This record gives sequence, C-alpha cells and structure tokens, in this order.
Amino acid sequence: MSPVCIITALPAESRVFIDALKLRHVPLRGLRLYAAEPYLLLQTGLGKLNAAAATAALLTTRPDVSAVINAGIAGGTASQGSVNLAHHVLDVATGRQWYPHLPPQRTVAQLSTHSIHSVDKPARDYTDGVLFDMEAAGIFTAASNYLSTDAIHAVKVVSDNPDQELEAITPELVTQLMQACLPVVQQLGDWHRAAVQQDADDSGLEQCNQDIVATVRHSVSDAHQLRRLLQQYHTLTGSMPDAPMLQQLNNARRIRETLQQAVQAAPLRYDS
Amino acid sequence: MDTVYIEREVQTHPRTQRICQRYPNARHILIERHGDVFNARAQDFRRQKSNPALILAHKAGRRVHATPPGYHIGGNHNYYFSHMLNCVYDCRYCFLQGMYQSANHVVYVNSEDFMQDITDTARQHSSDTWFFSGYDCDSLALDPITHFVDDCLDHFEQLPRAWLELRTKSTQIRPLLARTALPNVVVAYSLSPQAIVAAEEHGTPSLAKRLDALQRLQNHGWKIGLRFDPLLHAENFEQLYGELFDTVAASLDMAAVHSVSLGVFRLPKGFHKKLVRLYPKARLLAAPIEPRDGMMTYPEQIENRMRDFCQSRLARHIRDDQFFPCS
Ligand code: SF4
Repeated sequence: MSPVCIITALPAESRVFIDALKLRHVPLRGLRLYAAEPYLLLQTGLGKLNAAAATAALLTTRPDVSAVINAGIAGGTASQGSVNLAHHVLDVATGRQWYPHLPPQRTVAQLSTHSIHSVDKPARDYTDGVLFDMEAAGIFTAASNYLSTDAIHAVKVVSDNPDQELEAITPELVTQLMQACLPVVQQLGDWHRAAVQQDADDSGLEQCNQDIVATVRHSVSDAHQLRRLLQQYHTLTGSMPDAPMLQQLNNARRIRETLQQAVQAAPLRYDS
Repeated sequence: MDTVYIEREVQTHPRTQRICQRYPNARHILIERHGDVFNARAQDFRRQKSNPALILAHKAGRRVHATPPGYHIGGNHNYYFSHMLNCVYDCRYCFLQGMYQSANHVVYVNSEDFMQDITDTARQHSSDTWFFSGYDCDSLALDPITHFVDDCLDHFEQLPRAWLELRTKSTQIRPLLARTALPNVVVAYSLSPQAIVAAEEHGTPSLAKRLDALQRLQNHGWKIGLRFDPLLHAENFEQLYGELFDTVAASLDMAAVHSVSLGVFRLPKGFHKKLVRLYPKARLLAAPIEPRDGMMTYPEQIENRMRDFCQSRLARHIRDDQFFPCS
C-alpha cells in the first residue's frame, strides 16, 4: 500500500505520531524516518533547507509515497492550540507560492484554513489569516517535484500569538499542542488512501508487463508502448493477452505488432 | 462547491458577492491572481474533478476570439468567448481535460466587459456576426450560479445583427423559458446515443432529458441547433447513430431546426496524450486512433464511413441548408 508520509521538524512535534501510530525507526540514507503501515514519519530538523533536503531524499528513494502532510507548530493571531490547514504556502524569501488542492470540508471536519508564510527566522509580526512557520515552503518546494498539489498538505497548530510569546514554547508544550493535529492528519491520510485505492490497478496488467519485459529485451520507449498496448487490450477485451505466447515472439517489435492487431480487432460496442 | 477562491480585484463586484452568498459555508479564500491557482503546475486534474473549487475572477485582455477554421454555422464572421473555464460535467473525450492544468471552475464575473467587447467586435463588421458561447465550458450548466444567460440575452436583445449560439448539454433552461425568444439566438444541444451518454458523458443529462429540454425550447419559440459532435466509433455505430437520428427527428419539429452539425472525434495530439495519462482505462481512448494533421482521430477510412452514414441518414430528416458538416 502506498504510504502517506507525515513530515515534522522537531522531536517534540513527532512524538505524538510515533506513539499513537506505533511508528518505529527505519534506517534510510541517514534520514530520521519512522514507519508503520500505512504511515511514514520523516523528521527533517529545523528550517526550510533541512525540510527540502530531507523531503527530496525521501521521495527519491520512496516513489511509492502517495502524499505528504507537514504537521507542526506555527505562530499567528489565532488562539493557542487551534489547528489549521494551509490553503496557501508562501516562501517569504523567494516569493514562491503554492495552493494545495483542499479536501472536501466534510473530510476534515470543517477545519479552518490559513495562509502559511515560511520564514527563515522566527517572526512576531502576527497578522490575521497568516501563520508563520519555518518548514512548509521547503517541503512544498521539494514535494511538488514528485507529487500533485492535492497530495501535499500542511497542518499547523498555533503555538504562539500576541498573548503567548514565542519564548514560552517548551518541548513539552509542543508535544501537548500537537495532540490536536493527530486526528486531522489521520483524516487527510484516509482521504488520500481512498483516492489511491480507487485508482489501484487490479487487472494483472503489471504482472503481464513485467513477465514480458523480464524475458524479451525492451528499450524504455518499447516498454512504454508495450504497457499502453496491454492497457488498451485489457480495456477493450476485459482480459489480459497470452503472455507466454507473446514471450515466444522474442522480439519487442513483433510483440507490439501482434498486440496492435489484437487491439484493432477488439470490438468496441456501446450497449444500452 | 466548498472552496471559493476570490480574486482581490473582484472582491466587491456585485456578482462576486451574489455568488459568495450562495455558498455561505464554503471556504472563501482571497487570492491575487486566478492564474496562481488555476495555472499552477503539478495539479491533478482527475483528483480535482471529484471536488472542484470555484474561482471568481476578472478577465483582462482579449475576451472575444476568432473561432478556429471550420467552427461556424454558415456565418462569415465567427467569434467565441468564454465567461467560464471548465465544466461541471465529465465527458471522457472533453478537450478541456487536455488543455487545462486544473479542474477548478473559473467564473469571470466582469460580464459587462465581455458584452462591451462583443458589441465592439460586432461593430467591426457590416454583415451579421456570430458569437459562440460554450467553447471552454457548458453555456448553461452553471447558470443558476452565474446568471450569465440573462446578462447575455439582455445584451443580444440590443444587438440584432449579432447572433449568439449557446452550446450546452444542460437542462438548466428556466431563464430561457422565462422570457420571449430572441430571433438572433440559437440554443444548440450536443447529442449522443444514450449508450454513449451513459458510458462516456459522465454526469450529463440523459438523451431523453436533453430532448425534452429541446422540445420545450422549440415550443417556446427559441431557435434550436443540434450538434452531433463528437461522433464516436463503435462496432454498432450505425445502429447507435441511426436510432439517435430517428429518435431526435421523432421528438422535434425538424423543419424548424436552425442548424445541424456533426464532427468526428478528434483531439490535438498533446491533449490526447494527457487524457490517456489521466484515464488509462477509458474505452474511448483505448480504441485504435491515429495521428493525422496534428490531431488524433480515427483512421481516414473509418472517419469517412462514419460521415457518409450520418450525412445520408440525417438527409432523411433535414434540408441541405440546415446542415453543416463540421463545427
Ligand atoms: S459538456 Fe462539453 S465542456 Fe462539459 S465536460 Fe462535456 S465536452 Fe467538456
């Protein structure tokens, strides 16, 4: 199953997820990575650069990750402990911005949304509708090279505001505040998994494709064309072609021609 | 629609406010430019289609465009305009899926600017000018939200030398039935055999509902147009389309139909590639088609057979002057 990866910056932000989802440390390229089906948790360290580097490293090695959810603390004018979903992420230093495609409100219990401004140093110029953090833009920068905007989200709990100062934040307080993020992250994870399952390919196409490519030499382009022809064949006939027969042809072009003929001969009917 | 993006420039526009009032519980998100959301890279059209957002925006720059060659119903001067981008329906062959990054719906609220540009364009010509709506959207499907039809018809009422085609599959015809038919407006329905509607035109009204809407419009005095486009090939093509034409002819006053056009399924190559990526299991896209003149379409022999059949079968029901082979 394609995992959803929770991305945090600090141990105090990770704790609640590690405990509640029973995640265990897994070694991977020096990353602080934890896992238990169907979640991964990546702890990146503080700041945009660390967040971007760790996210890119993870998504390069784990292309099966279907979505990432950045969870962490942020400063704003909202009350301490309130949880928000990002509808906009801005890298304040570069002006680059992202608009994650938001899930239906019912899937995240009418959660309020904010614009997240990722800053390089802690900020105190709190503004209505804006939350300050230090990682979201780094995660979006890296993840948007691998995933679409509906599969990259940021969930932030307010840790500091004009009444509760930044200096008063302790690791214990962070862990306590992050409890409120857990259900939202799980709801987002469920939403993604439902969508991914809808797209899941259960036709045996992948197996047939692999069997042929494993025995008959295919260039990248040949393999691409083969996959599409197998897909067409399956869509039109409702079955997979005889893989051993195709393997016996022992030549990528001949396999393609045979499949093309079969696709052309396959009847497409529309019946009421 | 539970997310509405609002471009700052139109935040106080009366249409924006009216539309926002329809969605009091939606997330209302202020944005600077609609392109930041709509044209952003790395969007998943298919995923967005299941819960699209609404984007209320100002259309700057050119609002009225010359139609591509062949897109006409007999007029010499032909233009299209798009007061909306994208569509509530989900036809598997729709070229909008190939054209746009996003499945969100953009509604341009500055209809007054569209109307001014239509007037200016019409004035450039001494003969009749045609304006086609429904090129980048369905003209009527979101009308309860946009109220575009009334705005538009009020305007065309004042422009007798300008013709308007409203292209649709929608049955949202209440605003049309609530007023006197205008002589310079054609309400044109895209029609397909019901088996194709069910298989490939997801979320659209059934053929029977479209025919019912056409009957009511015709009875009310509106000029109606029939658009058999795209024609899709199938083993039982002749049965499907033969029955379709006969059903349509039995339902409507064919002599009074303004225009009939047809076009065989075709998509620009790049759009087709994107559609295959979005919907690898779509039957329509799995059927053999080939590149021709930058388009992906059926082999020429099949295309000719389809055209010939349709033209001869339609000839039983309509006059030559009603027929336009490709729109
Ligand atoms: S009704 Fe027209 S615009 Fe809408 S999805 Fe279908 S083909 Fe596209």
